[in-house]
Parts: sequence; C-alpha cells; structure tokens
Amino acid sequence: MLGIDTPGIDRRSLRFLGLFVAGMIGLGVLFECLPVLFQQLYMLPVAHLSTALLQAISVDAVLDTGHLGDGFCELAVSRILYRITFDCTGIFAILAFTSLTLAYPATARQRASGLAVGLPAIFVFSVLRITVLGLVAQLAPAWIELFHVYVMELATLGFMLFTWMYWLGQVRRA
Amino acid sequence: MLERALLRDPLVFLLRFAAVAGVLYLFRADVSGFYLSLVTAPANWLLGGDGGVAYTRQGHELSLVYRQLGLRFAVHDIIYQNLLVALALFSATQAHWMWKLKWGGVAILTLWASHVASLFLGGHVIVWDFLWSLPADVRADLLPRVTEHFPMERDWLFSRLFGLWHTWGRQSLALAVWALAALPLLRRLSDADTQERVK
Repeated sequence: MLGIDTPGIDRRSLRFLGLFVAGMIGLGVLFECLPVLFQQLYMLPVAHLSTALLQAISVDAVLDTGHLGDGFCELAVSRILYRITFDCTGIFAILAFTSLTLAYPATARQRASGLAVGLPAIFVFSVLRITVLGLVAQLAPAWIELFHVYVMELATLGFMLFTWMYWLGQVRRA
Repeated sequence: MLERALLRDPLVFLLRFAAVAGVLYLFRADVSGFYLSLVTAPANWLLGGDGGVAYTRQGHELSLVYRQLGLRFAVHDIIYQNLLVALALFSATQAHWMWKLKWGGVAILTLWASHVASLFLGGHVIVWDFLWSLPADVRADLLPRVTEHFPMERDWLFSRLFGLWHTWGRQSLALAVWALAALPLLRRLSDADTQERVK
C-alpha cells in the first residue's frame, strides 16, 4: 500500500522529475539521431518475432521489411495490412522505463539490474502487443481500431509501470 | 526469478489501472464532446481568426476550417487520450482521495494547457503540410494567400514542435506529472520498509 497523506513537492521529487525529463530528452535525441540503430536492434526483432509467433499459431501473417528505410514494416494478416511503426512497437515504454529507472535514487548496480530485467520484459510485451493485434485482425477485424489506438497503447504503459514498480520493490528491499 | 511478495503491489496497481481505463473508455464519447468544447474555444481564441481559421465540432468529430482558403480538414479526436491515461494512473494509485483530487486536478490543468497549445500549433502545421503535398504549380498559386496568415518561417519550428509533441510529449507529460506526484508516496513506503526491517 502507498501512503494516505497529501504530499507536496519536495527537492528530491523535483530532482527526480528533472532527471526523468532530461533522460527522456536525451534518449529522444539519441533516437532521432540514430533511427537505423533502433530499427535494427528493436523494430525488426519485434516485427520478426511477432510474425513468427503469429505463424506458429497458424495465423496467415506475412512481414514485408522493404519499407524499413521509410521507417516502417508492413505486416499482412488476412486481408488487413498493418503498418508497423516505432509507435506500434512500444518504443515509448522502453525509453520511459529507462528514464524512470535512471532517475530514481538507487545505486548503479540496482539501476543496471532494473534495466537488465525490465527492458527485455518490455521487449517481450511489445512482441505480444503486435501478436495480439494480428490475432484481432484475424478473429475480430471490427475491433482493430479499439485495440490499436486504445487497449494495447494503455496496456503497454500499464505493463511498463508494473515492471518499474516491481523493480522499486527490489530496490526498497535491498 | 520473480519474487511473489514483490509482485503484489504492482499487480494491484496494474489491475486497477486496467479497470479504470476500461471504465473511462465506456464514457469516451461523452468525455470527448465535453472536453473538446473546453479546448477548442481557447485554441480558436489563440488562433485569433487569422486566415479565418477555426476548429469546429460536431459531437466528438473535430474539423479545422480555413474559411478564406476554402479548406476543411478532419482532425483525429484522440487528443485527450493522455488525459484518460493520467486519470487512470491517479485513480489506480493507492492513495488518499484528497491526493488523487489534488494531483488529478494538476494533471488535468497541465494536459488541458498542452492540448490547447497543440491545437494552436496544429492550425499552422496542417495547412503547411497540405501545401507541401500539392503539385508545385498549385502550391505556387496558393502560397501567397497562406503566407499572408501563416508565415513560412514559423513552419519549421512549429512542425518540429508538433511532431515531437505527438511522438514523445503526450504520454511523457501525463507520466511526468504522475511520477512527480507519486514519488513521495513511493519513497515514504521505502522509508517505512526500512524502519520495519530495523525493528
């Protein structure tokens, strides 16, 4: 349980906020400067793994990476064509988790362990996110908009915070 | 290896977040109409009628109309999604209702201001995006009428601000307000844990 008082803003909270914002800006700049790196290390693996997962459960999915230079892949499921962009792969959650973890007062070892557990967990969740969208395209195409714009977007954020709070628990216990 | 004892609080948070987000979705259309009226009025005031541009609403459908240019664009009605995210975050946090009310209010005000600003930027960016998508001869025809109200030198800055806001800013802002608010609670819990162990 969290506390029940009505807290104000103190110096440590402002420091945390400043570091979080600085982290987001720094990672955002890195992302904007090196999109190809993020495509190769993140977008492509997420797209390939989710396509493989869909095929493993007998969903007719075909991935086209020919548009990678334009910043997206195309995933064809049934008669629906998904344009997989960075937004769809939950890159925001990766950067936000990294910034939150680096901004929180903890030792370097604790931060490293948080990133070592959290980033792969969010990566796996992102693979599942695209897989779920593929399944929705196959099973209930009318629900695509709801799942694409709302459900999976919020689920990714919720899972990222779940992972972060789990790490906070580890830091507190140490 | 996951430790079950450490999973409890995050899991409770996640379930509450999902439940609140689900409930908010049910009222999405109602919230949309009401909220858009709160953001379009000040955005239109900021745009100041330059080029006869104004946001108009029909229910929760939003359009951007450039009367003097004879243009009309449909605007996606998801600008308030981070508002729902923020409301879900504050509702899901296990804290006193006064805390939720106070910080929820701060989040709504902050996001409202950001939405008004993004609509203002959108008024400039959308017409320029449209202009750049036209064939050169048509563009040359329209250019003087557009630059009269929407200076070209603003386009570079406004387009980038608008793009960054859409990619990174929206969710970051909701998350930043929540993180700022929740940190003292999380830290207090940390102190309480430490004291517990010392005992």
